[in-house]
Amino acid sequence: MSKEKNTEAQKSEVLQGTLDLMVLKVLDALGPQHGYGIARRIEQVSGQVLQLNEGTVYTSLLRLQQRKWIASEWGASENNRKAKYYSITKSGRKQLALETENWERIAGVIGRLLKLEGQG
Amino acid sequence: MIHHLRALAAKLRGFFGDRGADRELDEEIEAHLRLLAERYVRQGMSEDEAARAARRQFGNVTLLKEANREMRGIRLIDTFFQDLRYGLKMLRRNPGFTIVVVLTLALGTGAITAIFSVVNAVLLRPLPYRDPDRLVLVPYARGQDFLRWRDQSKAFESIAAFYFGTADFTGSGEPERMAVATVSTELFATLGVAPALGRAFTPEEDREGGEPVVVLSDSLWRRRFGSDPQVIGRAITLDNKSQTVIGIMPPGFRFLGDSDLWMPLITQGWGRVEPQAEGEGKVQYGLPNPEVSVIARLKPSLTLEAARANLPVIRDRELRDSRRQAMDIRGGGGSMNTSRSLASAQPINIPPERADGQVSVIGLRESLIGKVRLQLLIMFGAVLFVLLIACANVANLLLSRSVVRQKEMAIRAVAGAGRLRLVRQLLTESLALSVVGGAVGLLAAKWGVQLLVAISPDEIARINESSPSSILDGRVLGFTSLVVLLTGLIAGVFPALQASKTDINETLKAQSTAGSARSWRGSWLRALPALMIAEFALALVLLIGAGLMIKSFLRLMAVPKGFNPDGVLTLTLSPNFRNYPWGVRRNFYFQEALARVQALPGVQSAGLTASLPLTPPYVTMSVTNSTFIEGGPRFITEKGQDIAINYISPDYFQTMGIQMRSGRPFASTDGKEAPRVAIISEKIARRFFPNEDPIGHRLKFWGPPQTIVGVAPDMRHSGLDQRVRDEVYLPFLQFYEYGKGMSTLAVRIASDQNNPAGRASPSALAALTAAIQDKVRSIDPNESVFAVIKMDERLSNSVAERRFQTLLLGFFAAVALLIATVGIYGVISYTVSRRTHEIGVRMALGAQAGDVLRMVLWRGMSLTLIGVTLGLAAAFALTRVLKNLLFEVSATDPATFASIALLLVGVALIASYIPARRATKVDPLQALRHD
Repeated sequence: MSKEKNTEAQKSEVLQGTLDLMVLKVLDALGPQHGYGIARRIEQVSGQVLQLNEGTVYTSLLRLQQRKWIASEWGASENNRKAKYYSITKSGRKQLALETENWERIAGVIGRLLKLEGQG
Repeated sequence: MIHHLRALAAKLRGFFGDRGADRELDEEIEAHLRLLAERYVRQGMSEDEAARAARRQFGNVTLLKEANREMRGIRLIDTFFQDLRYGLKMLRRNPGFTIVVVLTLALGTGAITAIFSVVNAVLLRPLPYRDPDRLVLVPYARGQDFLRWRDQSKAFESIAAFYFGTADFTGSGEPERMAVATVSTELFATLGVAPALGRAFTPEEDREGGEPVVVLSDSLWRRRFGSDPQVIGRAITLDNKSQTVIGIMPPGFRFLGDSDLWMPLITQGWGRVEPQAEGEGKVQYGLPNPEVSVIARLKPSLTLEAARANLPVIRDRELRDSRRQAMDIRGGGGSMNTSRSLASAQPINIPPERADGQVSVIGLRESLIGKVRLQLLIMFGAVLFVLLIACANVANLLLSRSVVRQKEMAIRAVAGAGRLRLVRQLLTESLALSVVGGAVGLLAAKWGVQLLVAISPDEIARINESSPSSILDGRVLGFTSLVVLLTGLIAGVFPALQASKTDINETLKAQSTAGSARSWRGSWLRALPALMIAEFALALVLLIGAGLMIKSFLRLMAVPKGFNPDGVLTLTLSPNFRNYPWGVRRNFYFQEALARVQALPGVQSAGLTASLPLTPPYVTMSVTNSTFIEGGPRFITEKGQDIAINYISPDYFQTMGIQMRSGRPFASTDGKEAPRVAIISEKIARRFFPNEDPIGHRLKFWGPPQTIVGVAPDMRHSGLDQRVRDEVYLPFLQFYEYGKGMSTLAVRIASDQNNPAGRASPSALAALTAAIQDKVRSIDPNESVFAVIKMDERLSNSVAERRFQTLLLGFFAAVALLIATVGIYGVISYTVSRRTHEIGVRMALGAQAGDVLRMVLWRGMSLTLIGVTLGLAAAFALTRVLKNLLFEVSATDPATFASIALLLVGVALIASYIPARRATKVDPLQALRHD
């Protein structure tokens, strides 16, 4: 039992940090979205690479809300059902810019490092 | 209970809008799942399949909800009960561990609660009077000063004078000598306490020739009058005088000691103060100007300093002298008739005489607790150490166990518990332990206070108030709860941090204990040795403190007493002064008592004395060159000196087992008509006759000169730890015409009554005790007879306070040693079990049993030695607070420091040796296969 769970736990752990960044990016790019919409967008972009427990989106949303990087309000969905819409805030945009820059720098370093390794 | 709390928690959640947040999340999840399912249906799945797929895609809903709730952080109470249930289950599963931890904590909390409840009763709880902090005490004053203060001072709301004495109660049942407080009529109002029945004194009762009245204590009322309310208005006989009972004080009322009754102090005849427009008041003094004590209630917002300035005093040498005398003769086994001073009623803290000529004023509270405070604070400090050691030990045990539970923690982490959640779980467990320990400790404390009250000397003035029933007052309970909470947190925080740091992957991967040993570095387990070291350091400080006290006590008991208390009974004789006035009649009573007791079978010898060893001298005299020894000056200066005068009957020395240093004891021939003789103490002989034989010289300080016929060993009158006095003995018969307020009868039981061990048998002593009392009572059935006290009991009472302190500190130190020993044993056993693999490898590679033994022992010893070194330094800094409690032992006595350190090292060595032995028995094959 432990092995299987362990892998899962590790995967979700890996995802946790980056999931917040993805959610922020989705909201920045697409405007206000509900949780389902965010999950669909991430799925769509990532294809089969990332397997997401969609529930974790909501944890991420709550976390981002607590940091005041996103705001939420109730609205009507496409098929006229009640849904909670999340939108990025001003400080959320700043954070996104910061995180994106960080991410790119680290990704660049790791990329170069891996290439180097490959040549050696 | 739990149910109620749950309901409360739910209400709180509702109040904080949490329930709304929960519902919103539910709606969002539901919508999400529906949309997912709809999509799968569109892809061609059946409804059931789609719903299942949606759930799979979404993940664990319950976990998610819980995580979100957790993040909102209001589920504390729910989690708490969950943790509690789980924790209790774990504790039940490990009963051995649980019992050790609970007992350790119970010992710590119990001890500190017991001491705190005494501290509370003695130091913290307000005195049982109205606004007690405004009450100030003048221990010694003159009657006319009191009148002046009463009539002129503006600093006081009210002021009262009082002194303590005795009265013989006769006329109904057994005659009894009562402790009487004679108090000016304002006393009860000054204290703000009214009688429970009847009335207090009125100003009209401060008048000569009025109807004599008396107020009874509750305990006397119960004991002698069967709690009969009709006693009010009835007359009782005190000192042959009829006095009317007007009131009964409330139960438990005491004022500077236990008085049986209160009588009005007649101040009317003391003179009157005539105020004048300017200058000093012109005072017309009446002759009586007795020594009294004064209690006053300060006006609100006035300070003690203001009181001092408002107590101008007519100072004279006479007052100082009489004060000194009053101090000299206080407390002497019933010296009630001569010493009216406050000091005889209750040991209080009397400040030294002030040099600036102002009168001594102290707060009433200060007077009661001044001396006791330091002792209590030391005991409290000691017990705090015990508690800290207990905490450290429990932390140790929890830490060791946290390793065993690493897997459990890892699984919980995988199942979604966050780090905070794990810390909380473990803290809940340690709190549960400390609460159970605290509850057991509280029970122990109840018993402990009983024990403390039973063995405490009278000096801890208010300790009687901390009866077992009052131990649970709010402050004590609050204190204990705080202690329980803090111990739970302190003991739990390291293990919790450690366990929550568990690396999930490594723990779950690791199949061997060797694997987890790697995680030792950089983990909270490093706290393990640190805690152990702290334990040793604290225990050593306590042990050294106790060692110093024990050494003091042994030194004290080794002080040469000069007499042999075994088999000696004593009885203080003090017939009523009205029936037996100073002089022949009184002396007859004493002699008659001696004669009748001497004739009893089973009595080897009997003697009379004015004051026994270990009781203050009955008479002291100031002598000078011209009034002490015949033939030339003996003092360096003309300034005189106090010597103690003791009269004794011929057989007294023999009875007390006092060996003459030289010369002879008094004989029956040293009668009234024979030449006057005296015996001097060794100290006088040494000081005044350094190079000659004092025998044959003559003293001239009292009537016709007395020829010195012998030298007696020095006696200590104020206690074994006090200096020796110059003492002169005179024969009882030649002292005849002089006053003898009281005498003490000493009786040695015949040696044929001894038990095989050569000591007097208790049953023979008991029989003789009754016989002596009967004989003395037979002289005059109207006289009250005091209790017969064994001389060794007097000896033991004289060191009661020191014994109490030594016992208490010794007990705490023993507990500390025990806990620390269990601690080092646990830590070393644990180290061994963790390193079984490593030890196996070493042995497989050729290490001998001796090498392994040394390795493990060194681990224990290194911790011990560091702890002992730190402890020695701390003890060096701390034991000086004991300075005033020690007797002929320095607070940094090197021998004590060294031997106690060795003791601790030795005990630790044994405690580490047992697990070390076990380590040498490790079978390398077994250990390696285990990998």
